[in-house]
Amino acid sequence: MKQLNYILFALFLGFSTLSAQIDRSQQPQPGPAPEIKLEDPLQFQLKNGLTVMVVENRKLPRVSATLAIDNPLIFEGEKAGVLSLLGSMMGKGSANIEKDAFDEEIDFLGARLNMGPSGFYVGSLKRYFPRVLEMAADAALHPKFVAEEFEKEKAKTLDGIKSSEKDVKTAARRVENLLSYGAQHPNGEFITKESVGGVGVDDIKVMYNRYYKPNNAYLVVIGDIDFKTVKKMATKLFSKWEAEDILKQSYPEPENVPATTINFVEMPNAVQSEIAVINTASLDKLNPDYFPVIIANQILGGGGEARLFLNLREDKGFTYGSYSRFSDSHKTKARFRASASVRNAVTDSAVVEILHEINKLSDELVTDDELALVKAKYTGSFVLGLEKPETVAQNALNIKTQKLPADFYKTFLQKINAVTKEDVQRVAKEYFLGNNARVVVTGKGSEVLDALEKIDYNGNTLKVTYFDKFGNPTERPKFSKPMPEGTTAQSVIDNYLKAIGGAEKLKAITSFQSISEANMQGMTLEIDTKKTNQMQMNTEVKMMGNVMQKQVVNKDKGYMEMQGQRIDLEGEQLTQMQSEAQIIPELTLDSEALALVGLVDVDGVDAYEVKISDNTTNFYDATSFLKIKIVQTVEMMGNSQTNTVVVGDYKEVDGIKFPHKLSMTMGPQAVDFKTQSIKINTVLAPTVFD
Amino acid sequence: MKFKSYLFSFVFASCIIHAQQVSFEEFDLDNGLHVILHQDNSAPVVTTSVLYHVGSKDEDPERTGFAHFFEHLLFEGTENIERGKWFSIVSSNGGSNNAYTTDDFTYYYEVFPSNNLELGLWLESERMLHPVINEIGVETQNEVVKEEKRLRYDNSPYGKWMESVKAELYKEHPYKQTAIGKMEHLDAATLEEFIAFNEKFYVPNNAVLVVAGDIDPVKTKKMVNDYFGSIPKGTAIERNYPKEAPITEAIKAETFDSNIQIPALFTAYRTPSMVTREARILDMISTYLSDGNSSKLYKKLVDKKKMSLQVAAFNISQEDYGTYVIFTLPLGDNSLEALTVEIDEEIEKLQNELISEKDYQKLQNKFETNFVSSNSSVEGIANSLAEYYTLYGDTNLINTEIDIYRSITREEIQAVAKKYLNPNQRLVLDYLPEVAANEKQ
Repeated sequence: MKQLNYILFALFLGFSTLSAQIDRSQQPQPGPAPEIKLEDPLQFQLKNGLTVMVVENRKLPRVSATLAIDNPLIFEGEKAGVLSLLGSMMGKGSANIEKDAFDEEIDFLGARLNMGPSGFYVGSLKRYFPRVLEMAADAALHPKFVAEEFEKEKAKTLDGIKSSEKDVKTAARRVENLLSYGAQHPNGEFITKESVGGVGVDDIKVMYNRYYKPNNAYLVVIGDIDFKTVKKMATKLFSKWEAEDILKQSYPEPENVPATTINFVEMPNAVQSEIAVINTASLDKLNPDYFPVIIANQILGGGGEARLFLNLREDKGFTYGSYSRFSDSHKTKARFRASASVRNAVTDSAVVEILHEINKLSDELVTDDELALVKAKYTGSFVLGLEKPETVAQNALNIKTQKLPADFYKTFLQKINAVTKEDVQRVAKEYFLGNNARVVVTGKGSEVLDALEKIDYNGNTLKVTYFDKFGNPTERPKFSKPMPEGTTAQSVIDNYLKAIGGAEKLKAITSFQSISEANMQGMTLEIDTKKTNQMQMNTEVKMMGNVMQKQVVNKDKGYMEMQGQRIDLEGEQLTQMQSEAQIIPELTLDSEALALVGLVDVDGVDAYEVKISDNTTNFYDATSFLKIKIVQTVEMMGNSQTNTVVVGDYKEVDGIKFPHKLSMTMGPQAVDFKTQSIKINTVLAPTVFD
Repeated sequence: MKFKSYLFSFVFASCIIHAQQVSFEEFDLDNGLHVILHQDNSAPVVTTSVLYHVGSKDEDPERTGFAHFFEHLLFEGTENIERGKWFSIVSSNGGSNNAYTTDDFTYYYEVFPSNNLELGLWLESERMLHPVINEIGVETQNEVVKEEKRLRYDNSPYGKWMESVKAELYKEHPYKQTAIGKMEHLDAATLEEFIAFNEKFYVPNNAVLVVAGDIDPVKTKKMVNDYFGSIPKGTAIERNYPKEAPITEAIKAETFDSNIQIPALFTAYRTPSMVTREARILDMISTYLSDGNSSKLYKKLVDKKKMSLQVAAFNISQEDYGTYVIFTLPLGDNSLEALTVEIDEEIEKLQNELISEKDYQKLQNKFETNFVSSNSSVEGIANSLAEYYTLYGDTNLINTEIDIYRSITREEIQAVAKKYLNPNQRLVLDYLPEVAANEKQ
């Protein structure tokens, strides 16, 4: 029997194309773990502080160099955008070589060069590398800031801002950063049209001179090159770069909220909501909690096998992906952020699920399997990283810049493997603050807000605050209801004209006369109005028969009389009065200025909101199309004031419907007018308008 | 032509140190599965990948989005892999994985520490042999794909340009469809249709398996045979897609996007298949026009005349046709028409005169750099091997494609520009901001 087995075995070996003798129902077990060899790059330091690191890798005939200036965070304030503009001004030739010649040569050598505000990356074939590095160093240390180039970059930056103005993700990230860190923090501030507008070329020079220094700089060279060659090159190119102390700014450190709050950012064009649940904490790599924190985060949202992904995508199909990240920082507070882009209809449910998963980390121990999986994942990614010389370089750079122990990465897996379930739960309570989180939701309020405001979180609703896309607090946004297809501002106006009598009849009106009355503090106020279709108007406000106030418009002239004093109207005021002199203003609207705002609720009635000029918005009943409200913004002695007129009680006069009731609210005052009589097409004496 | 190409390689040989040759061996299993092995023991990492020769062009025009949908569905589980466990099996063994779908093919891969080579082969063979395709998987992934569409296209500035360009350039050929497909098609599809699609396309005779990295070729061959040898062969696939009539009159179109403020101009030409020499010449023309700060269009439009925020020319090379696209965003008040004129002027120059010797040398340097860098990771090499085999029918192009580029002459560049980049052969797409009724000021 034994022998037979042996023969079969030999047969099997000999004919490897015979069908498989494997049990595919069993997942294959890994072979012996490969040896992990972590190399250290060779390094040296120039007298000016620049540290040079070299990772030799001869696999391909190419070399790259990265210059990284590791400065403290910089708060730009009013001129946010200087750093980014400095970045785009770098590499435009140098004091020694014209821009066109510079661009031409870099391209000719087939090199890649990217320059930024705090360093550069350059890579090329080995044989061109000496010249390419020389050019990069020249552009870095002897930049030329030409005003004309600067204006061009500024225009591009401004257009860039414009191009992303409606981008939901851009708005979401901007407000998330602002709310996490605050407007006075380098991580919270952002570039705007206004802030870039204020930047001049001198600001760029000041920024460069202050921060582009070798003190905190690192040059990392990777590829088919030896240490001696690099040392010679770097010494020659960078020794004259002068060191100078760099001031560390102070700025307020961010704080978490006392109770979880939803911050809603209105973006009416969104088809998905951007959800981020955020808190900050102190966490750098030297913190002993670093290892349990990154493990806890991996279990929560580190990838396709983590809880957020399995719950929100694989189980519920809410999203293409949901992840979390704990970005440690040795310069300021670290930030935890769990996120997902979800369809509008499930926005509230997705918020609930994300919060639930965050809190579950504190409430329950993670499972042995989850912990083992994450540890294996770290081991694997360590091995996979070995293929890339960039990993070796990045680790060495981290050790230097974050002042880590020299064996930080050599003992990394050991420390990862020492983390227990209890450690994970302990740090979850301290660093993953489901009950002190800012939930930032950026999306289409009309479809998501009602549900967000009703979220039940441990028996309470969450407080909701509202923001515009630049993070300014706002009132709760108002939303249009869905409108019938084809509804436009013009169609609403046309329907209105039809409803009150038809354009033809309306255009035939030559004059208009009305008398209205109101009660004010026990006295009767009478308003007599006369208008013609020649842009003429006379309005008299009478009290007990006496004229208290008079307004007259006659084509391009007009005046106001108050208690015997006459003031001629001009400019804005005259234009305003001229528009009031129209008998039916809707007949002569500027169709360019017309805009349909939406279908809204006006005191329980659905109405179309139509902007008819810069300062006037009308509301038309969605069923009858009669005008029911007018809102005007007027300048009164330097302040802007909103006047509202609610109109109603339409009655026919010679076949045309006119409102016979007007309720005016002017600032704090409210007055109700009843129209006593309306006459049209009577002949009015021309002297009335003198 | 041959003589010329020889001459060129001779000239270059003196100054070029060849990038390391990528060595590989390839063979077929009895069931038709093509296998490519590439050994590189410099790091303990291995990539296992399968390229299925099925993309969105292979879909029923009433059932678009299937190939991409399978990219999701085939992670749902197999007879031996429980639903939802795929990602955790990969991660808990220190690996990473992903997949992507194009109009022509779908590519699945895993990267593992090399002690998990067998696991990678098991995973891919399970997927090929008996994936579980059921209602729950289809329903969940249907929602996920809809979210992907919203994320990548509907909620994304300029996200719809590709769809518009395809719809205008292709009227008959399935390239008129998009990879993400129509959601109503996916909603309407039955489970039986998904199963039939799987049985037709996801079979060994329509796939190539690549194993690359830290491997022992003898042992690997045995494992490949163990795991894949018994997978039944599928029916041979016939591809006979309708051809497009040449474009002889300029097409003008508009697309509106509510996510943008700045309009964009897309000029697109239908060009020959990726396997042709002409497609590679068009690659060179793209580089000439818009790669790098000294490229013609960038220098002129962005740098000198300041008319454009961004400009890019690129050749989307595909199996049956190519799509050559020039894209630009105007700066400030510059009109799309004015930009078209400027771009045309550069193309006319290409058509009427030879590019300079210096520019030609620059192109060669750029292509050589790209060639060297293209083989920098084992993962990338695996992908290239699979594509060269499936789409070009010549795996060794991974080493020799650079020779084709080297042999291209200035005269050929001029001739191809003349032949394909004419105003009457193209689409001019104005991609414009959509102004919602309530935002009109």
